[in-house]
Amino acid sequence: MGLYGSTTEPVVAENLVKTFHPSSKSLLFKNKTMTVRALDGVSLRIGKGECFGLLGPNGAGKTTLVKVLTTLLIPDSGRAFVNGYDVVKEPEKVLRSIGVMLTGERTIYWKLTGRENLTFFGKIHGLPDDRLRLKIEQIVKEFGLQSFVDRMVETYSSGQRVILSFCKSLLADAQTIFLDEPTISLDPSYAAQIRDHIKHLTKVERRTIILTTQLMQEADLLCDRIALLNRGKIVAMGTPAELKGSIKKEHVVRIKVSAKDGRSASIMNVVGLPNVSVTDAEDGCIQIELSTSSVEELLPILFERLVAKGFRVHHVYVSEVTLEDVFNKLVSGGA
Amino acid sequence: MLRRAIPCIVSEIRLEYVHMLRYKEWILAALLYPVIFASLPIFLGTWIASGAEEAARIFAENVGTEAYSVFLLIGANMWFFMMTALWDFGLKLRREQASGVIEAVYLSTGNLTWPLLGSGLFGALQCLLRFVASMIIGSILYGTLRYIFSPRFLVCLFILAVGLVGIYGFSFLIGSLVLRLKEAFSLLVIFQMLFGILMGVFYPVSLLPYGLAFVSYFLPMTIALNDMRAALLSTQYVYNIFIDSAIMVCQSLLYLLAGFVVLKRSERKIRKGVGLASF
Repeated sequence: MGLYGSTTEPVVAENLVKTFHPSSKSLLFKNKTMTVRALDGVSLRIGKGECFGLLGPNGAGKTTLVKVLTTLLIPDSGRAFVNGYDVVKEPEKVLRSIGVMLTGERTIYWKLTGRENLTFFGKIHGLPDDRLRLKIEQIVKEFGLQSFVDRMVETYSSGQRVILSFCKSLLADAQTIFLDEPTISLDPSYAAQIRDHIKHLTKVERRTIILTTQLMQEADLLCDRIALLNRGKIVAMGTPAELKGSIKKEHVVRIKVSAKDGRSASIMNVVGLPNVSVTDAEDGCIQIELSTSSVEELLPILFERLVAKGFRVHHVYVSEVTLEDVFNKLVSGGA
Repeated sequence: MLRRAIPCIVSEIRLEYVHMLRYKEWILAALLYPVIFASLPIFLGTWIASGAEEAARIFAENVGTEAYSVFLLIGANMWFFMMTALWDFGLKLRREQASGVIEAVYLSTGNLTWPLLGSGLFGALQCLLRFVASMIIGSILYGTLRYIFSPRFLVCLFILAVGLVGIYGFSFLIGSLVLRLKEAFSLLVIFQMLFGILMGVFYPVSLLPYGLAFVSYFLPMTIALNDMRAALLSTQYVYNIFIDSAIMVCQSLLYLLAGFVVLKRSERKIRKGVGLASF
């Protein structure tokens, strides 16, 4: 066991650095070598039972980080421990203690059936025959694979292959599971099925999930904490609420009202605020729209004024700060 | 370690078997290829000597046996096995790199050695069976079945079995280089022809110039090929069957060990670089 062998945190990374040196190919012989810093001092700690999201644009370093933590890549410097094992010095122990689903559908043999794939990967992982057979049966039932599991993978749809890859990562009943974009190319029903299962794994079975995704809503829905990566660095880390609270953004407020005596012209005076637009809605109501950074203070005052002047409030919409806003602010530099 | 290795090796053998069944046409091709390949020099020799009897007499004067068709069939089979073994590992690794499945295998086993050993074992077993089938087909065609149904054929099979360990050990080494060197495939194309010349596919190695003959004995397939012919056709062993077998076993262990070391080093170097999936 490594330095963090006694820790209860399944994943610990300290100052990880990984560089690549791709060369640009010209038509003939002249190659130019570049240096890409895929991970630039990444440190994090992930607790047991936590669903930890890795978000970031393409090339941010999410997959590289997952590959370092799953021993597929050796970092240039820094240290990382998974389930107490050093990812550089004890790769086989790390691998025996985790489940991994890599991006894409090509991590399985296309000339085998789904069941043959699950059996092959379960056996080379070292699972005993009886346990493996039961586990496969359980997975087949749970994910409704009966209709295609005995067909060759080359006949599957993209979604079916991704589902099979996901199931493969569950075979060993590992306590820590790495999922690299698990819902990519899935239709909404399959994606929902996988999300429900991830929730079950973390909330009920207390397993640790490290999830990379490009889907902000998915991260918001599933993750207890999120690290936002950009150019190999963690630019923000926290719960979805903390991240959303970390940026200041004007809320858009839309209120639909109707005037008992049709006095819409006077509504601007009633509201008494600058930057307000009033439009007639299709259903005969009036729509008031305004921007504010203090919704909590503004709404009660506005309601009081409207009701006092005889307006009936039908509908109120307040825009929320989303992870996408956080992403845009911190990664793209947008507002 | 064995507790982890054995299920992995057995699963890999099963995987290769299932893959073979999914491409059934290849089985027939693999059986017929050595027979067709051997037929080229058989027909050429018979034509040049103006008939089978004269061809047998000239061949016996130079090589020590009249059964030139059996001699050439064994050579063609061995060359085919050497080629299969050389390309098997390299192609398998490249195919799995390209498809991305190599990472999934590594993530399940923690190393690539056991799957490759399983794949090699399956290849060696397959070669043994192919040899029997292909020799029977060839012998029916050229009327030399009596050689196949003699006890000497079992000795020949034993020598092949020992030789195949060396051949697969050697290809294990080459395959490990393929994982590391992108250019290794083009080298393989040259090597397979060079090895074909050195191992004596269509002639005894003793006919080669001394320097080339000396180098050829460092190849794991040369002694095996020579001794299979010696066992079946009463031509010359290099020393005798026991010393030759001992040399082959030593060569096998050496090549396997070297392959293992190179594979481990390649694996680590690749993980330090861009990762197993890059090719």
